Amino acid sequence: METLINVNALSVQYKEGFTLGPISFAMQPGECLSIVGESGCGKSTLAKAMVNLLDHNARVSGEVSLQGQSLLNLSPQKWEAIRMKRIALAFQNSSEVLNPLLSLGEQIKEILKKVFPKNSVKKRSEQLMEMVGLNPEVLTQFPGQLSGGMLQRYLIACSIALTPQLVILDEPTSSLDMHTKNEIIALIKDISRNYGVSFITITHDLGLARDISEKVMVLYKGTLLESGNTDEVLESPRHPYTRGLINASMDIQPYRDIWGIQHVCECDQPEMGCPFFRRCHQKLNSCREHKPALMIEKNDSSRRIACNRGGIVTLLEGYDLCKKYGSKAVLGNIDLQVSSGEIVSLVGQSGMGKTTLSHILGGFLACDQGTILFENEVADFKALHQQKKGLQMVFQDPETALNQNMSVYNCIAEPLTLQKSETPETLWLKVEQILTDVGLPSSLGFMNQKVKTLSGGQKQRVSIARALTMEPKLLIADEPTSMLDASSKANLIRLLKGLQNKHGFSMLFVTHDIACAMKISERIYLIKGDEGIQEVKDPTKILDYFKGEAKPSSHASYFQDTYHQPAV
Amino acid sequence: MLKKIILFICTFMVIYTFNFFIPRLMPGDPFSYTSSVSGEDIDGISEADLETMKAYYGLDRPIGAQFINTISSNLNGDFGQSIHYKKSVIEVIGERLPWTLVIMISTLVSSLLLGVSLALVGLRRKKMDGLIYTTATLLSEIPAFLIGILLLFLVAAQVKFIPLSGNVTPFKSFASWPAYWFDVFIHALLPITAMVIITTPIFYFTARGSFLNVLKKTYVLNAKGKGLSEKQIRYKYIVLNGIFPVITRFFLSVGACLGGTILIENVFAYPGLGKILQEGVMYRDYVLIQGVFLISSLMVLTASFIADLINEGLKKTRGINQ
Repeated sequence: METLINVNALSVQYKEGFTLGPISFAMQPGECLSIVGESGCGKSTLAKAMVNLLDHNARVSGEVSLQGQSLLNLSPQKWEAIRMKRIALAFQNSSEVLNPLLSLGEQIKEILKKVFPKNSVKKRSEQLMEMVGLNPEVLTQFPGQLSGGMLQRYLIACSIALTPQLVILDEPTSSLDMHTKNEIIALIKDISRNYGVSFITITHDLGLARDISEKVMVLYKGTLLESGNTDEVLESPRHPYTRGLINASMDIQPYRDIWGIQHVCECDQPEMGCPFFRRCHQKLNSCREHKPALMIEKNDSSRRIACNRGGIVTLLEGYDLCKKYGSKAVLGNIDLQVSSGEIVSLVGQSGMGKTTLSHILGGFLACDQGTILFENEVADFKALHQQKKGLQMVFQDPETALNQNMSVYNCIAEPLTLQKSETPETLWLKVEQILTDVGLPSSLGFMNQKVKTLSGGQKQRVSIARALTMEPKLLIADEPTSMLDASSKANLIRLLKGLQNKHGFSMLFVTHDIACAMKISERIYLIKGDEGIQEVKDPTKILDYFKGEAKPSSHASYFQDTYHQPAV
Repeated sequence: MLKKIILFICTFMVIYTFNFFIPRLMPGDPFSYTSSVSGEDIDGISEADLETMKAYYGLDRPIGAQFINTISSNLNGDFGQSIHYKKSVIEVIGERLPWTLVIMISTLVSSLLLGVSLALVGLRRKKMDGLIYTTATLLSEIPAFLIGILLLFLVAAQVKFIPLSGNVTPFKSFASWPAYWFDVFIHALLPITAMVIITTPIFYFTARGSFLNVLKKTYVLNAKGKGLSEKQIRYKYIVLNGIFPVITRFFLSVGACLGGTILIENVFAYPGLGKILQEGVMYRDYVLIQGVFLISSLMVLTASFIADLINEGLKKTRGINQ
């Protein structure tokens, strides 16, 4: 099939400094593409550049061709013949997008009369209104008299009025309610399927992107960071930014806690380097100078990603891990991965080897068989424990994990003291900072308090603080909240998640609480002892696994003699 | 709406009160001037005569009583007798008002058209815009009477068929109406030109600012995206949306224009309200001053009221909020 639109190295340079692109992509007839990204990433600029609607202070270069016809250098007259008829742009709805002094009928007539005979214009505009679910009576009204949702539908009607081959929709559903939004999505998909019209949807709403498009492009600060098939990108994002967007999106994550990508000061954003440098938690020093190019993924030819590290790196890998206590196999055939910057939960019933596995992965217990890799190398646990940027663990029971007779200060400072990398002054500041981070008082009195005087929740915070002083890349938390009451538990989990979001470390969260795992983790492994381990794609489905049932046979024989049978 | 009407009436009453008292605050009185030449006092009038005349015009009564008396007779449609012209004020103003209106209306209409056209030219050509903008800025700073005097010297004194003063050629009988109207036109030409020169920049600036503002709106870009021609966008989008501040300015300019006309009439000895106001002030003709002020303030107030109505009506029918 002939390519509908081909964008080749399109870039836009504003005098004020913003640069978009270069961006290249191609679309087939009937294809739907979404362009997603935060506000100000250049989505709308890209759309306007494609239809030649940028103002004069923007310099556009590259190539855009529609069915082989180059578009960028066309004269205004030639553009007038293309607009709406072959390529249409529906602007983002705002109070200023329509002429407030012309009735809606008048404004759609301006479009229709370019192609259709005058006597059919009225009928056609009424048909269009019905198509988008508006009463044809709105045609006599003025833009100021309609609600945002109605205007949005009207704008979509205008964009498809002259049956173009390509329609660009800028935030088409931002002011619509759920029901209308789904209606519009269905309408667009229907038109696309039946008439081979292509749609480019510009949105920050990943849920819309998922519902409306087969392909998606993720834009950040004018740079294309990831593109691919929508389902695959949303299912397994390869770029940390895409993952951040997904984690912040309620439509995609109906039960998970929402966390935005950390906002940082843009002050030392390198001009040459990776645009995501400041907010990335897996950056290398070379990312500062080297801007990554968009590369085709190794295992997936439809996926493209721009990252110097080839996308989200895998931090910890375990292959074929087995453990026996005596002759009894506790764990068998365990394969798992933890990527950089993600929270992975390990759930399972008690006695299925959760703690054993976490101790093996944390390097506190040797396994009988299998390999553990940390950043693609066989894990040297001694070094990982003793050095910064390694691996730290938070144990289930802070009573036994911490020396109860140490002062809070000594307890937290100990790992750094052993490392001998800090002067007493910087050490003090670090401890003060970390205490604030974990929500404990940083006063002198508190620091001198003995650990044993603290409450359970406070002790666990000290335990976390102690682990965080080493700035670990991976934090293994083994049931850190099992000793706490509901409120302390909620506080501590949010604290951990918040710290993870801020510092970007990965976390392996071991818990028997599936609800808690669903709330905070990106991926969940269900561990079944020596039967192995299974990654859970849809955690709602394994809720049944945890549902207990009383077995009457087990208690009947014991109780029937002593207890009276209930009167029937 | 009711609020607007009440406000209109209150404003009018305040102005009306000022109109009554301000002439009476001026030094001197009408009778020291009635029999004198250019304001020089003479001793010809006896005390007794003065008393008689004051009593005749009702000026011997306390000022409060005079005020109430004026209100009641005004309400009955009686605006009093001009002391200087010895005619009823309505008659005097009725003779002169049309001439002032000729100048004012011609000025406002031609300045409006000219100003908007210049703004439109500037919209299309950047270089022209700079030139027009600079010229308009310079012109808007010069007072009307100065331009009037310059026109007198530079045009009227040089060009034979343009008269120096007056409204029609005196004692001339005209063969036809067109000939009469041409005579009126040629007499009004210079006063109107002087007024247009200073009024046009006002409309030009308003229109230019408003058009540039509209140009920034998304609907203009959207119109371009719809593939409309430049001409369609210019008139149906930019002018249509940008013209309302200009129309408002049109009505709000009535006051400034009236003030300018009163001055310019004196430069060209044009027999409009300006001329009688000048004489009224000179001879302390309280009644006449009151009448002229009354009619001018009514004109200005009505104009602003109309401007308000247009804005309100527009917003209401088109559902515009701000």
